[in-house]
Amino acid sequence: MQNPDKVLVIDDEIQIRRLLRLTLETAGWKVGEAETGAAGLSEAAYFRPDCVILDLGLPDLPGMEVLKRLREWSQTPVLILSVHDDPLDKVQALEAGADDYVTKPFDAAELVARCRAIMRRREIREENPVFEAGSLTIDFAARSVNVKGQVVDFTATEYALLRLLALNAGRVMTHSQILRQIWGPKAEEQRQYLRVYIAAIRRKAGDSLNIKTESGIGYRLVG
Amino acid sequence: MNPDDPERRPEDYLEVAKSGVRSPRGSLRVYLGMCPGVGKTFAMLEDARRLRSEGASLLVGVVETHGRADTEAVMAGLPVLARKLLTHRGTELPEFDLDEALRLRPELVLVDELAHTNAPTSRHPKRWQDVQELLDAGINVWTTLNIQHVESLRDAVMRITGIRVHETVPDTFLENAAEIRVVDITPEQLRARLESGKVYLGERAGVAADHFFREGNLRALREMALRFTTQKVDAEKREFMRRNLIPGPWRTSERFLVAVGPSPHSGRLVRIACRLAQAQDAGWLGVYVDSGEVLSVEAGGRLAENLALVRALGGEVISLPAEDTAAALLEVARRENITQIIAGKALHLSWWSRLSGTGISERLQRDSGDIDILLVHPGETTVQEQKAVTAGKNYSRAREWGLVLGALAGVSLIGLLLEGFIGYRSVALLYLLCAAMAGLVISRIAVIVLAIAGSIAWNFLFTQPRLSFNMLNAEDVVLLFTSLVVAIVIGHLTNRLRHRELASRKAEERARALYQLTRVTSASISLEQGVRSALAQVEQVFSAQATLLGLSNSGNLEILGGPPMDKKEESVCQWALEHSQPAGRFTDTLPQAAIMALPLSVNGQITSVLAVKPTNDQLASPLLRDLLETFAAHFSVMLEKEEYQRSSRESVLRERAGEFQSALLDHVSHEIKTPVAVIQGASDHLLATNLPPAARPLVEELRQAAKRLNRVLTQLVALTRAEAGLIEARIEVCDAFDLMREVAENAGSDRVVVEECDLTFRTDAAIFETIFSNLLQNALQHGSGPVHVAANEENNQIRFLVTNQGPPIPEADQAVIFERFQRGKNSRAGGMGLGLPIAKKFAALLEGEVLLSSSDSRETRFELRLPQH
Repeated sequence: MQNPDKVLVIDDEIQIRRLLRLTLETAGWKVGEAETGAAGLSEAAYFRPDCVILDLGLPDLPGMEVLKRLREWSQTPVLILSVHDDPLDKVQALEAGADDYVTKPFDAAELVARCRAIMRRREIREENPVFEAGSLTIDFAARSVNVKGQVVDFTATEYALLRLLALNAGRVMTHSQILRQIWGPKAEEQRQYLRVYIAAIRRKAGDSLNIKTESGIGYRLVG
Repeated sequence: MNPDDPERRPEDYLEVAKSGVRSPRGSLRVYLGMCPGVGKTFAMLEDARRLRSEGASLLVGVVETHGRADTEAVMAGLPVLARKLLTHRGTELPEFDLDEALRLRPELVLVDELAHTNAPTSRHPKRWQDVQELLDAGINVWTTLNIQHVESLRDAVMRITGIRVHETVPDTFLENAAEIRVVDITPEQLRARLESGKVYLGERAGVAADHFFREGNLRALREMALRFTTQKVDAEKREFMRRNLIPGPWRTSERFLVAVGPSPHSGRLVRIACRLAQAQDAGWLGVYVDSGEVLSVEAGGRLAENLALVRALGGEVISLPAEDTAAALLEVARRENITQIIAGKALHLSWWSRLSGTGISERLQRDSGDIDILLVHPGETTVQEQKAVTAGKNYSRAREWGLVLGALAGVSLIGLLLEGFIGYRSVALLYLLCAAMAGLVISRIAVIVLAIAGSIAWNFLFTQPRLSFNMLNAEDVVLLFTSLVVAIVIGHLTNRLRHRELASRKAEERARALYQLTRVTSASISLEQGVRSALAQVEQVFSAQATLLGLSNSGNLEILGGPPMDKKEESVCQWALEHSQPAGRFTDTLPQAAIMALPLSVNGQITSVLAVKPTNDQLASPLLRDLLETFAAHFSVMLEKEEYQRSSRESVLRERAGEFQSALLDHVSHEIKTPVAVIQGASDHLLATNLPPAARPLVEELRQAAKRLNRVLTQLVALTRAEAGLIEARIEVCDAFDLMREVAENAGSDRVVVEECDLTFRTDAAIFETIFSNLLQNALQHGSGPVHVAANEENNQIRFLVTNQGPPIPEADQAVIFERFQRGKNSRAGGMGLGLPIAKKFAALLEGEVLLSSSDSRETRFELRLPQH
């Protein structure tokens, strides 16, 4: 049996930590805990987690600060778990490098699924030249997309967008992140482009591809 | 008509807008006749009978039958208001009971003889003012009037009939009449009625009446009545054209200015100006230039009357201090874009103005440029009026002539005493000195007289041969004429200097009074202190006791500062407040009161009254009255400032309270959400394990309860934040189908059917989601079976429809479902009823609305309408 994935929970609420530990261990992961932001950062260095679940309301450091400091040296996937459900908070956290955002109270099964998705992204990027989701296959080397065994033509921009979402499958990409990476920094405010292209991709890929709209935040390809 | 016609001026649109917002004012019908006896009252009563038979509620307020049988017959059966008996100097006068009519509030009140003058102790001096109040109260009025009582026709009537009419009704009042009905019979018929004794002639002596009812007079009066009505119809036509934006022949660019003074002719001038302006549908104003001349009491009163006449006829009054009347008139004319100046033709020009061309009319003609000047002959004045003018002048001049005589005698005496020491020629210089100095205290004419009289006296008393007007010495002759001219010129100059100084002193006093007022009030810390010092200023400047009253929360007037008032004075203030018009002394309403009450407008609403109790008559002067109005305006500003500060303090408090509430709720929700998360997570976990079958439903319940608690909390926070104004919409382009599908997915129910569509619009996605998910939850909760969700576009709006099957919402509940903490009576348990209020509140944030578009036994449909932008 290979080494189980490790998840670090940074939350000041003992009950939440205990609950998460139970849930995550049931999913087959090894769980580390930290009560404060500072403890969380050093634990991230020693424990070497594959995923971090971070609460934004910590007693010593704001969660956002912990996230920024973590991102200075680590690309470990981070899932924000917070009681705040303002889209602005979400966009801020995602732009600062968080991979996903779940609000409390949360559905245990969904949380596990999201953790799994963001951990898988790393594998796609590092090891696989091919992305597979349901009956859709993307061959990054050949720049070809296969839907239900048929090659489908995508324009250059559509392909670039699909590739970006696939490489970040499971992760919420904010509007500006996508616009910046595909159209360049000046296009950040032109969200209507994005909407048109997403609609085209959805049409061409049919129901083999699930791109979720996160209202006011961005898009997420559910892998 | 094309509304974008470039010919339209903003005023036209304003007029149109005005006509759209009619206040619920009563309408006025006037039965107009050429003279008494044409049957106005009879016609009015007959119409009233007919209306009454149709079931209208009407009341005969006051009707004079003069004992005529036919009139009394037609009045029988109509409800008649009892007269109010007012005692004046021992006699009882039955008057129209205004208060009772206002209390009874019938639809229509009949008031005979509109021009009637009320008993001195009545609320209003004139009956037409009573009618005005009835109309203001929304009561319709029918009334009767003879043509000679129309204010602007007074002079014409006097010229024709030779009778001076004292009881008049202002034209502005008649302009507001909805209808004018001419009761017309031919002069022959009238003569016949007169002879058969059907006409009541009042207390008029037979001869005067006979003179009045001469056939020539009657024809002229009849023509006047008919023409007046035609003009009214004409005005209505123009009004209609303006309201319907029909480009008409009116020339609003014309503006008239009439010079108003204390002269008795001024009234006629004012009436002429009014008629000219009315005929051309033009604006007009009356201007009084205060040259610093001291007016006698009568002249001052006449001036006030003339200015009041301008106001009554609908003109605007401007009074200003200036030494040079002609220049001041032209200055005002230029500033006010006047096209025509109307002034009186001077009858008795002084030789000086004739010679130098410095008479006012000459100056006006010379310097007016493109402004037309109309010089009006003053017309015949009665002997009485002539007397009035001269008496006024004599009074102020008597002292002056005394001074001239005294000075002459004094200098002559001193000259006789000193002649031996200084020589007789030096005495001529003493006369010169005296005339020059006199210019400082006496008028120009007096100075000239003094100089001439001095020369004559010197010639008579001091030159050789003595005690004769002959002169032997040529040098003396030269000296005499030189000193005479020098005396006149210097006297004239010093006189002008004095006038200018007086005028500037007056202006300075005014400026200082205002400056003092601003200074003391701006230096005060509190409103109370400000009011106190401002009232003290009023007392000092106007030598009048001043009180400031304001509306309290209970709607009563209470004293904000100043001495208390008695019941009667309070009622004057109350009237001024309710009618937004000055009342009390020196005004048209309750002029017998000891106080004068000026309503103050604070932020466009009349909420306070400044009451002054003058100790002398100086407030009758238009300049001081003007200053008082300026003071009143200052009070308004002071109260406005206070009001503004109070409301801004309140709004800051409210905002803070809102923020605090929201922060508190945020905190509480945070604190509760964590344990809720634990409960939900723990039950999730339990459900995933091998539970004993008996425990499973219980854990399921636990999980449901936690979810519900969480939903309610989220809703409460959202609603509180929205109500505290803490939510700001971030508008972006969204896809309608995309948004609906996502909300449907998150709803966690397979009963939702989303109809596909291709619509984009600009909105805040998160706010939309809140609205839509609440509508969806509501539909899922209140119905069974599928919930249909669709969107379409209509009139630049996107309509989202959420339809569910199930029992209809009872009609009684439909009105309250969008209120907070309301729930349909037959709804199932669960949900506190915050969903729909939130949907409504949030829809407003997006400039949209949520409504219940239908609810019957088959289905219930909610609709969200958002602008497409």
